[in-house]
Amino acid sequence: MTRLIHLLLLTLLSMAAAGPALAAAEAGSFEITLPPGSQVVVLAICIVYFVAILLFGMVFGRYTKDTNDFFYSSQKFPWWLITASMVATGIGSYSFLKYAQAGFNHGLGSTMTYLNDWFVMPFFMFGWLPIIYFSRVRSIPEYFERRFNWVVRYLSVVVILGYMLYYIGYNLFTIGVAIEGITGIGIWTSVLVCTLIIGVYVTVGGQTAVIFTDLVQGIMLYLAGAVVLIGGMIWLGGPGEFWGWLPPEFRQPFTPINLDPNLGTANTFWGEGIAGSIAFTFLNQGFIMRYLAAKSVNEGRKAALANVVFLLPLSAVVVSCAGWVGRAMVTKGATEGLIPFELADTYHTFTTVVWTVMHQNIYVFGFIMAALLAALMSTVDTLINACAAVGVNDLYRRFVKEERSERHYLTAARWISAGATGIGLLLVWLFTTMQADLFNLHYKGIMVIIPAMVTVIFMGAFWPRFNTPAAITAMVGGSAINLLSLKFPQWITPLSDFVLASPPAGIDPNYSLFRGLFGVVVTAAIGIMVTFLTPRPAVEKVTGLTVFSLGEAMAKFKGSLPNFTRGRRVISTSLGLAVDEAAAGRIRLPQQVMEELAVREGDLVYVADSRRWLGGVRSVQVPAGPAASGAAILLDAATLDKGSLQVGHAVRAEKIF
Amino acid sequence: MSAVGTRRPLTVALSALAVILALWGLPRLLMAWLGIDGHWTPYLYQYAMGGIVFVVGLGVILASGACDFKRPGDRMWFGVLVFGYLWYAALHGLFTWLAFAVPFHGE
Repeated sequence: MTRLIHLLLLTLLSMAAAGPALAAAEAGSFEITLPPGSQVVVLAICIVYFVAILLFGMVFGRYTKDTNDFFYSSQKFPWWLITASMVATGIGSYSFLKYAQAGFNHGLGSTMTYLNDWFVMPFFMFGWLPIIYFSRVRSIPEYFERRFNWVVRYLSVVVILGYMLYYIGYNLFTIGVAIEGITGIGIWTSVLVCTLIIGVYVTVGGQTAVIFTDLVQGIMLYLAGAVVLIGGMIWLGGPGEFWGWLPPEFRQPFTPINLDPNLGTANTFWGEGIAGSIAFTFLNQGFIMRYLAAKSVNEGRKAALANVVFLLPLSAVVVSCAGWVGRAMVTKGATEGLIPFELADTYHTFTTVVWTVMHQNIYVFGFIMAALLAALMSTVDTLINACAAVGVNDLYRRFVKEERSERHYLTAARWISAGATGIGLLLVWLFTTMQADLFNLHYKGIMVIIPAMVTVIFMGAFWPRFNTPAAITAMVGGSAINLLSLKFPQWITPLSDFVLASPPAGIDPNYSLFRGLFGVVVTAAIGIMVTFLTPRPAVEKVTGLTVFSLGEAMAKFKGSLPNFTRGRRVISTSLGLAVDEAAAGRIRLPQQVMEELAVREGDLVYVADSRRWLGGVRSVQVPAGPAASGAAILLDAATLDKGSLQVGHAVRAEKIF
Repeated sequence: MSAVGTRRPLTVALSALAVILALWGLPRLLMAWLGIDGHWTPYLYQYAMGGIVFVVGLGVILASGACDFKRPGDRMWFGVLVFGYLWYAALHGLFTWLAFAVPFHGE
């Protein structure tokens, strides 16, 4: 606790250090001209928000008892909490800036990357999600080792860690740039403060803190988007006026199929919608950990459904709407001979439009800026926790300290979280030295690194015949050829011509997105070829790890054959919990409850505090023992403590399967 | 230890060939029919190409037994998958239509 207080004090001191930088700010460096003294108001709002989130996140540290809690929250959360927390994770600090800019330049076409994920959902909901859930893998590299061998595992560790650390640095840098542009505070000061706060609550609270703070931050982000959209519509005279002043080509939800080299429908679909969506749903350790925190596979499916069908469209509106409003304002202004705002660089579309539609109200502007910080924190906290998961499970347990206590690994996880935060901070220095356009650099990196891994994981999960030599050759060969395509972009032309039907003469296709598809195709071709030239894998090696053996995976997860007999889904009972050491790691339900749920001995049961608003933070998944003779529900003290459940409190019970 | 077998290799090969042909032929048909800058060309491109990927996904989960209609809930989740596709197709279709159905105030 003393250590935490020290960290908190250090944070506040860092914030105080921002003062001189603020005073030194020059009005000329801002894209918008804030009235004198107003930066202090913005800063104060952000500080209040920072401290509130820090304290809120730290509260959940007490629910973390072992590494399973720290990374996966012991598979106990309901779908709505998982979904809500994913909202904030999916919106990074740069999203508002990037998509507002795209919305201003391309209209509703800016939403394309958010709204093309559904096509891969059959593979995810019925394939990848149950595979990783039932096989109890703790990280993506661990799946690679079990499905193939240690070589594939460590190839993937290098790629995944590099990708996530790069992403942490990138997010921190973009927030630094945004804060500098608005308040004049130097990049290093703002990045240092942000890093410290995120580092503290992730290091202390782990996944539970991440999920709960992201829930709050997601609400904050949506509120900010609503304020901008409604404010913009009021400025323009209502929703009808907004739509009326938006030029028709900007109202279309797609850009022209291949006339735009940066954001054409065809290359966005193949690069982002297919390769990118598979990477996002199959490979993003942060998202995978969210799904693994769900209390069952069905809850994970519900979370995916709610996220992709309802919340991603909302998120697309939230991050893009400033750009659409700005475009409608400019069109209206041009017709009526007014200039609503000066926009020297469309990178600042978001802040400029917000400032204008809010009629220079500094308090609302401060709130919106706090939302920008929320976007940063909610993305980076997930990545830090994911880095710690890979660090502990794939490196520390294997190479540093084997066979230690859970307490030992929990401490190691916290140190690795702190280390990942520090490395992210160091990477900011790298970005400050770069002269290239970061947006393009970012996409270029993703489309070079990810495709080979995405393809290997996909083939591993959906093709039992795919074997270890093929996985190694495909991953190394696919990555190498994809990397070489940077030097020889003409290699991609036959493929883009094949699926695009040749762009018109004079159009120079930008290959950054098509490179994703190229990498997938090349890796798959190598993988298929080597698979057929080498021996088939043993059945035992792949059982439970491909879509063709999910029944076995479920049985292994449960420890006995699944019981699909239908019973009542959930029992809310007024029965309290009682401690009985004879339960010995099992739950003993009264006979009547067992019959209503159709639970047999050995079935997995989820028991949670009856107060639903707790979001499952007081709950546990435990196998059923023999029926209890009395009216109480019996657990041993260790299980009760693991679920943070309270004796005497009413609970609800549910059969998992 | 027994080795993994191959299920219905001819069906798999023929399905793959059909998918490759569709991926090559559909964009060309669309371009010839609506033109490269037609209002509905990008919409139909995404839902035709995406539809192929989606149907292959449904085929794989049914053929593998990962989705088994005899298991409680699987039929419902299969319906949810189809609903999701139709939901997005309807949403995008509505906005593509609205883009040109509402008069533009400017010049």
